[in-house]
Order: sequence, then C-alpha cells, then structure tokens
Amino acid sequence: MSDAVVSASHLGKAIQGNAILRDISVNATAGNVVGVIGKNGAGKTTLLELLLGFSPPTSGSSTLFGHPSLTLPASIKQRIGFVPQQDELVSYITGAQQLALTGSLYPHWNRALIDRLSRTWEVPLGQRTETLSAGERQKLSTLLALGHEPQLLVLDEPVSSLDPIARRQFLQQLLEIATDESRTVLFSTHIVSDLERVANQIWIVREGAIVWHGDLDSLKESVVRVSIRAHTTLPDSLGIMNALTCRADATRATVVVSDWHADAAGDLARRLDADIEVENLSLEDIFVELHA
Amino acid sequence: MDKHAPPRIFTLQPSSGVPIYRQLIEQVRRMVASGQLAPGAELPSVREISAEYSVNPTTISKAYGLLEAEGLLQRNRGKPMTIPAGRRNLGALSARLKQVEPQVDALVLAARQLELGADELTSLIVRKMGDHS
Amino acid sequence: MRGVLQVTLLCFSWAPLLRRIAVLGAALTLAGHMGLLLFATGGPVFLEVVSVILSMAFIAVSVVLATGVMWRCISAPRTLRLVPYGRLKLLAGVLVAHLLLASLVAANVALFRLEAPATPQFPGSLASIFIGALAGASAVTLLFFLLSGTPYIAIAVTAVAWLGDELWSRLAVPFNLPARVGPLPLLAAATALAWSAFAAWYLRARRIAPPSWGSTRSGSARRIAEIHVSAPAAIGIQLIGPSPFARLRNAGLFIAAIVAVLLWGAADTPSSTRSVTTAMALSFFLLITSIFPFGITAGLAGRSRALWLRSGCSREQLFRVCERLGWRCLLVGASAVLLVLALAWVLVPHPTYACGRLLLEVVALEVCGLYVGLMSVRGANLRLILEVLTAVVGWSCLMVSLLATAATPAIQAIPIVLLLGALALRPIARLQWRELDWLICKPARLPSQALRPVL
Repeated sequence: MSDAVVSASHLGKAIQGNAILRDISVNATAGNVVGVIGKNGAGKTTLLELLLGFSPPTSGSSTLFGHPSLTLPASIKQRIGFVPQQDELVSYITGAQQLALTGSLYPHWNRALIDRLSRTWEVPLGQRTETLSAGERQKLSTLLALGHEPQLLVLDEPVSSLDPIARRQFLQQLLEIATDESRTVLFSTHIVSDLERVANQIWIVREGAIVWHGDLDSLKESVVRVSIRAHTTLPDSLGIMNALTCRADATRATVVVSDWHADAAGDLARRLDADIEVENLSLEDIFVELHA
Repeated sequence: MDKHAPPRIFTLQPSSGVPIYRQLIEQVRRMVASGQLAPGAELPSVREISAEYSVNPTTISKAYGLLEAEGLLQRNRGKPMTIPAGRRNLGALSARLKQVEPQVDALVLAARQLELGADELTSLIVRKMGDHS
Repeated sequence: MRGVLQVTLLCFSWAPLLRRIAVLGAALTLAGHMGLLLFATGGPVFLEVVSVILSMAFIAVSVVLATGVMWRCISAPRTLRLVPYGRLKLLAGVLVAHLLLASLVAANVALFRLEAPATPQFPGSLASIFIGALAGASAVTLLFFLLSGTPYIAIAVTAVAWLGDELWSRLAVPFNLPARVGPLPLLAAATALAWSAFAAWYLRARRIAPPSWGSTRSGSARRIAEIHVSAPAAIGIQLIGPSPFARLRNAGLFIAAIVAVLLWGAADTPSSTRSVTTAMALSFFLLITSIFPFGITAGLAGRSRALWLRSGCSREQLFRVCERLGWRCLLVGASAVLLVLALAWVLVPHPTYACGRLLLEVVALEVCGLYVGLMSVRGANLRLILEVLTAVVGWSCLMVSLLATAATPAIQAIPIVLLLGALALRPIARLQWRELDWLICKPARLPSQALRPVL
C-alpha cells in the first residue's frame, strides 16, 4: 500500500541456521494502534527490530514510510520513537541528564510534555539511572521515545515491569497519541487485557510466522467457541470447517472455530440435529486456543 | 467523591468476547429504547469516551458511525452528537427481532437448564413488558 | 572433595576464553619443551625461552588475574550460605589452584634447567621458585579479592608485590640494606599467615559485597552539573559514558610512571639474569596500554545500537564516530607512556633498550587494539580472540625487542610489519560495520548471571 507506514514483504530471518522469522508480510497504516502478541521466543522482538532496520533480513524486505529499513535517511529516523525491551540508559548520569542528552539529538523536543509526564508518572529525574528500579527505568525509556512526538512509535514490551496504575497511565498516554490520526503505534506485549483496550489491530506471531493480522474486532467476531448439544449421537467427524480444537463425547461437543460466519449456526443445527450455542472469546482465550 | 464528574453512562468491558464497538451500539440502542437517552440528549465525544474508559478511539468512532447510519445518532458540526428528535427510523420488524434474538437464545437456554416450560416463560415476559411500558 | 576439585578447575577456566588461553598455554609449554629437547644444542634458543615463559603465563592468567574478582563474585550472593560448607569449599578450591600453579611453575623451570643448562635462568632453588610463585599468585588473588572496587590500588600493590624483590634490591643498594627481602622460610611463613588470616575473615564474614565494577565514582560522587549538550557530545556520552577521559588520563599517567621506573631502574647490561623479569614486567605494562583502546572500542558496536534511530546516522557514519572516539581515547590514555618512551629514545637515550623501536611497536599495538575492538563480527567472542592473538603477538614482539642483543634486520622490521598490520585492520572493521547486525551484536551485560553453578 502506498500509504502504509510500516510494511514487510516476505520478511525472513535466520541466525546460524535457525529460522526465527518466516515469510512475514504485514503492513500497518497511519492512525492505527497495532498490538503484536505471541509466546516468548515467538519472534516478536526480532520482527520489530528487523522492521526498524537494526538487523539485515535473510530474505524479503521491509520499509518504513516508504524507505527501506536498512538505509533509513535521518529525516525518517527523526519521526520514529522506539522503546526497546532492554533499556539503553547511560549509567552515572541522572534521569534529567539522560532526557537532556536525548533531547539534544532531535530538532523538535517537547519539554512541556516530558515535564508533565514525568510528574504524572512519578519518574524520579534527580537520581542516577542505575539506581532506579526496573519500573522507573522502563518509564524513563518510554519518556525518551515520546519527547520528540514521533509519527511512528514502536514499543517492545513497554509495560512488563509496571504496576497496574502505571500501566493504566501509560495506556492513557498511548490513547492520546492514538486519537491523532497521523500517528501510528506498534507495540508488543504479553498483557493481553491492555491490548484489548488500546489496540485496534492485532498481529499474532507464532513460531516466527504471523497467524493472524487484522482488526481486533474482526478477530473477536470470527473466533468463537461453539457448544453443541445433539439430540442423537454425534458422528465421528463433525464436518466443521476451520476448527481449531474439538472436545466431544457421545452427544455433546465443544469446538473452537476460527473464521466463523453468523449464519453457520443455523446450518450446523440442522445438519447435526442439535442445539447450538455460540460464545465469543476474549483475546486471551483466543490466544490460548490458537496455540493449542 | 468527586460530585462534579458525571457518572459513567456506559459499561464497556474490553476483555469480553464481544467487541467494544458492538457493546457500545447495543447499549446506545437499549438506552434509546428505554428512554434513558431522550431525543436531543448529548453523547460524549469519541475523545472523551476514549479517555474516560481507556479504550481505542477508532472502535468508538466505528460504533458512532454505524449508529449514525442506523439513524440513531445525529452528527452536528462542531457540537456533540445527539439523539435525533422525532420518530427514528425503526427499521423492519424482522430486523428488529433479529437484534433481540441473541438475548432470546440465552433466555431459552437458561429456561431449558431450569426446566421451565414455554408457557411459564411467556407469561413472565408478558408481565415484565407490562411493568416497563 | 569433588566440589573442591571443581572449584580448582574453575579457577583455570573462569570463562570459555580463559579456558582456551589456558589450553593454549599448556600446548605452547609442551611445544616449547619438545623444542628444547630436540634442539638442545644451537638454534634460536631464546625463542623457546620466551615460549616457555609466555606459555606458563597463559596458564597462570586465569588463576592469577581473574580469580580474585571472580571468586568475590561467587562469594557475594547470599544463597551461597545455604550451601553446606560453601565458602570452605571455595576457599579450599582456590588454595589448591594456587598450589597447583606454583608446582607447575617450579616443574616447568626444573625441566627447563634440565633441557638447557647453558641459557640464563631464574636464580634460586626449586623450593624458592615454588614459594615465590605461590606468594606472588596469592598476593595478587587476595589483593584483587579485597580491593576489587578500586582497581588502581590493586594494580599498584600487585606491581609492588610482584616486583617487590626487584625493587627492593634496587632500593637497597644506595641505602646499604640487605639485598634480599628475607630468607625463604620467612616468605613461606608470610604466605601461610596471609592465607590463614584471610581464611579466618572470609569464613566468618557476615556479608561480602560483590565487586563494584569500576564504579569508583560511587565513592567520589561528583555531581555532574548541567551537561552542556550538543548533538556530537550527546552521541559521545551515549557511547562511552559521561567522562571517561579523566580516568583514562589517570590510568595512562599511572602506567607511564611504572614504565619509567622500570626503564631507568633496569639500566643494566642485558646479560644479567634480572633483565628477563624486568623485560617481562616492562612488556606487560606496555601491553596494557594497548589494551585500553580495545577496552573502549570493544563495547562501541553494541552501544551504538542506541544511536541507530536517535542520531539519524547511517552505519558508515556511526563507524566514523566510533573510530574518532577510539582515537581520542587512545591519545588521552597512551600519550603519557609514549612520551616516556620518546624521552628514553631521544633525550636520555636508554643504554639497554631500543626505545624507538619499542615506541613504534606500542603505537602499532594500540592501533591494532583500536580496530580489533571495532570489529564486531558475530558478537564478542571473535573480537576477544583476535585481541588475545594481538596481545600474544604483541607481547612476543616486545619481549624479542627487549631481550635481543643485536638489531638484526628481522628485528628491525617487526615494528613496520606491526604497523602495516594495524593499518590493514581498518578497512576490515569498516566493512563489517556496513553489515552490522545488532541482533547478534548486543551491548555487554555484567557477567553476574554468567557464572556456572558449581557447588
């Protein structure tokens, strides 16, 4: 797409023979908040880093704002903010000095925003960075990426060390960014409930490949759990398409289906002579079922 | 207690299996039908809901867009969205019945589990509708 | 018992790299001895001398230089106290390692004497060599353990302890004091006493703090006032921290002072047996200065990751920035030593050593260290191996320069070859930066979790 902010085409990465990413083709357009979820080791961090140009891909390519990731010009890099999983704070300087350092690297730095956020988020700026707790370090790293008001904000597990209140504050800030139609957010997290609030697009990464990408709403509407109570004995093969998991005994069955259509319930009821109950699943349940 | 902050009108559950925009649409429909949202009432803006409930604004504006297409909402330039006055476009009977069908399914299932007959259930429904009209 | 032996083995191989060095040392020792056995008469025996000495040094590196600090690292965690006799096993293991090392040194020298009785050797009986080696290694280990927060003091005291005999006899002459530190039994008793006292404290101490990795700044917490930041300064601070130049300069001056003392203290004729020890010490300290630029640039590839997006620089530009920083550190850290060498060459010409040649060699080694540090292929291990190779080659060249009596054309050519080699490293480093993969090349983390559970 011509107006895709982030775009990957058949992206693959292998390190010493181990394929970490396989044939990934996704894109994200402006104004969206994309959540990337996956198990540990699924390749989320690798994907984000390849998209940002930290590492050359083994196959395929990726672009940001239309430019290839490996050779991003300085003007594009200025429009990107990145919060890495392992923070890259300089030791022996205070938080305020770290902010000043990073601020001097950008032509546009919103000092007022940083002051307000550091107060609201309770980030101690007068202490040296190596004396901060893990949560405070994470908050400081996030501030460093927000100061220049980037058009594309990429966050890798930005809330793993934050308590629920800090997480909520962070999400509120993300939502403020999300209301700006020209800015895009891409973030990976384990905490699925946060994604359900904040993201409107989801990428699910499993074993280095993307098994779902699209709207969160469509995902919730298409992955459902179908409970079947038949009046007669069920056949061995229920004949349900796109079934992810199936648990059945003689007359009852529970099937999790991806790609469900609303009228399929009636057909199924008639065919199996059963009562059908369709249950929508939360994102966490969907995630678990997709990995079963 | 902050007496100046208005109470929340909606109940949005992001972790539910039902997408947020659908929850919002259902609740607006029900509130209009029950009279909680009278014609002319103002609805909070997309940004306000997003900030108050900590949910993504895109899904809110999708809900508002669909409600507007249904005729339940009216967009006023520069001013908050309102419920349009006068008879709204109710839509065909079959369409309206289809919208309550999920709730009826749940009710029927509960009744079956409690071994209630159709007659008992129907008289209960009639009585409730009489209470609320 | 098995736990004790495991600790002893660990002392020789704290990290995979150190293990490889020790194995290399063992192989070189064997090769050196074979060479001496086969070519006992004639031939360039001094090469064998160097290799036998060097190789013992390799075996000793892990035990002597690394044990103090690493031992403290594993003594620090509180969970060690839950292991039955945990600290006792550690102590016993380290002690056995030192006894083993001293025995190996003595055995090595004994074999050496049998094979080449004509060449200049270490003076003294085997017992004195054993005790001397044990005392020296123990002193370094215990001092590094106790002083692992303050590297300067540790290095200074180590240097004094190692060269104690040497320095004492130099100081003794003008003051008419006894020429030796003391009779052998005294040294042995002192070593035993030191270990006992240390053990008494170590086994009882309630809490052993982990080594503070070079954060001497925590003691002298200078409040850094508003840093005047411009983009280039910010890049520099992100890469090498707020103010390393003061520390580098101090370290450089410190080493320069030691080198000066060694140079002018060793103005003997080269045939004296003492000069081998002095040559070893001199080459060691000269080599350290070449490791400074490596120490700085080795981490830069990983740390430049933080600047990929923020600074807007391309990989090529980041290479140039890091190279410039490396040169600046080189000049700050090494200029004192180079000045001392230059003075010894030109102003007060040293009677024994060809200081001009030494100067060139040190410069070449520094440049090598700088560019080896910048090479970032596949993370840290290859880089470390290259640097160790450079150090090996460098030390050999320095020893040859210091011990050679005649300036043959081959020896004259050594600094030139080294310089050419150093300059050839630059395009290699540059090429590797063009394809820098930060997924593989990560910033260095402290090895607190890298220690294998042994007990």
